[in-house]
Amino acid sequence: MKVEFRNVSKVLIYSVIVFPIIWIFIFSLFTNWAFPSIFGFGEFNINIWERLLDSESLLLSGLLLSLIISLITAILSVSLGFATSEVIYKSRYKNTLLLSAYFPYVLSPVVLALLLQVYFVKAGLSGSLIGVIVALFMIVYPYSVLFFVGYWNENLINMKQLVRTLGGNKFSAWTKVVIPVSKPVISLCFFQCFIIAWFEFGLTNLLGVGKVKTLPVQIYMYIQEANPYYAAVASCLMIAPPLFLLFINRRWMSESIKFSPLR
Amino acid sequence: MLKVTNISKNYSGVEVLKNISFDLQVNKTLSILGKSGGGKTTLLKIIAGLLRQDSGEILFDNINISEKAPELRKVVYLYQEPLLFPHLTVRGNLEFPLKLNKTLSKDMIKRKAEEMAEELSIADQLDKHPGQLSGGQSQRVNFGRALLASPRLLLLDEPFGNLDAQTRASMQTFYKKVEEEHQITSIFVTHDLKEALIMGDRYGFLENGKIREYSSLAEMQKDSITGLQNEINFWKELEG
Repeated sequence: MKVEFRNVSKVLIYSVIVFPIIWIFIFSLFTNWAFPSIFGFGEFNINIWERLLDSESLLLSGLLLSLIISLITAILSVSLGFATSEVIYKSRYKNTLLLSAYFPYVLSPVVLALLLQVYFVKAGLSGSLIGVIVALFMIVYPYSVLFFVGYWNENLINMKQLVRTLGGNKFSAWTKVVIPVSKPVISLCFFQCFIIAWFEFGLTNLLGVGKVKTLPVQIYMYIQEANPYYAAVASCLMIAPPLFLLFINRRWMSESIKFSPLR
Repeated sequence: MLKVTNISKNYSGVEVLKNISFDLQVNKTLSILGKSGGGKTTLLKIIAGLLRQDSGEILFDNINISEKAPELRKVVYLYQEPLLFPHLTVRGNLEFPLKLNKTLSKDMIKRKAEEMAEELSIADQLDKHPGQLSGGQSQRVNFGRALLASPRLLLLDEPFGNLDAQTRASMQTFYKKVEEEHQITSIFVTHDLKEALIMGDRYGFLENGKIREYSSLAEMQKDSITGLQNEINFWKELEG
């Protein structure tokens, strides 16, 4: 009875998660939905998917733009966040510094964007790719710092020092021990930073002033235009990279954590 | 010869080490006894170059190493935890210091690591990961890795502190043997009186940031602050 209940609940949970994804995918294969049909999808049509491969496709450029922005933001935030978090972990002002890292979240990213807008316009960053990356970095980087501060511990610091006394310099302490030992945590943080940057809409829309057309910006645009089929295709593209990263992360992390006594 | 002269260190206004001076002959072990928080670790870290002293200097064979980076001092610091690198196997851990030395060939590195594993009786553990080893085995790998770095001085900060009594005793015997074979110069820090006596050729007592040195057990016994006489009396009473 207990096992049956567990199986049923599993099926329910998976259905709740997987069903919307499948539904959106099916929806993306149709066009010309007409009121009042609720379950009818309209005509089967894969034109939008075919147009995706077109070199002038807005969706394809949006996908690439989102990938570039999210990857750069995540790489910068993770690498700088990891190094900064060690300094904060060892600092006597740890609590004050951590409090300032919560600032963008307490304020909310959109409010932060509104506050920054004037400075971005003055600096010529408004509406540019670099501007959007800088803006995203300002919310993803503190997240990365907060994530890693909890990871640093005396064992890791001591290992770093041990490398020095064994004859390694600062660089080899990082590259040969600290980073390899922390790979599972770094990859998990990278995944989460990527997700934050990938799904960010408000901040990107405000500071990108509609010129930087990332996928989330396009989805909102299609919804505003009452174009659900394009929105469905864009949503499928939106979900694909995080799902792929989740799959890699899960498999890779369980393998690498197996032998880590730092777990 | 190691010569430590007038080393002082303050932490937020608290004087942890006060003009510490001592010297240590080559191939000898100085056991430093002291309570937790007495500045033992600080002293070792300063000698290793992991902490900077406020004043004083450290000379090795009359060369001042006080300002040198830790990797240039040839002083290996061993922590209470074995701190084996979890992403590497036992072989990887043993080969680690050898690989930092770019002049050695791959074959040479492999051979040296295998010889050390043989000597430490861990040859059958070479392909295991640190998480699969016992406490004693981990410490053996830790010693092996340190020895392969060819240090001039080995600093041991209560390395057997986390082991059970039986393993601890066997590791003490084991270390004495290795120390003799490899002619190691070392400073052994502990809060365990018996361990300090077993491990050292010379003894020191660190309290309130000051060190007292004793060149023999008799000298140490005379000083009531070390607690050695009390310990001897206790065992005598128990026997009698």
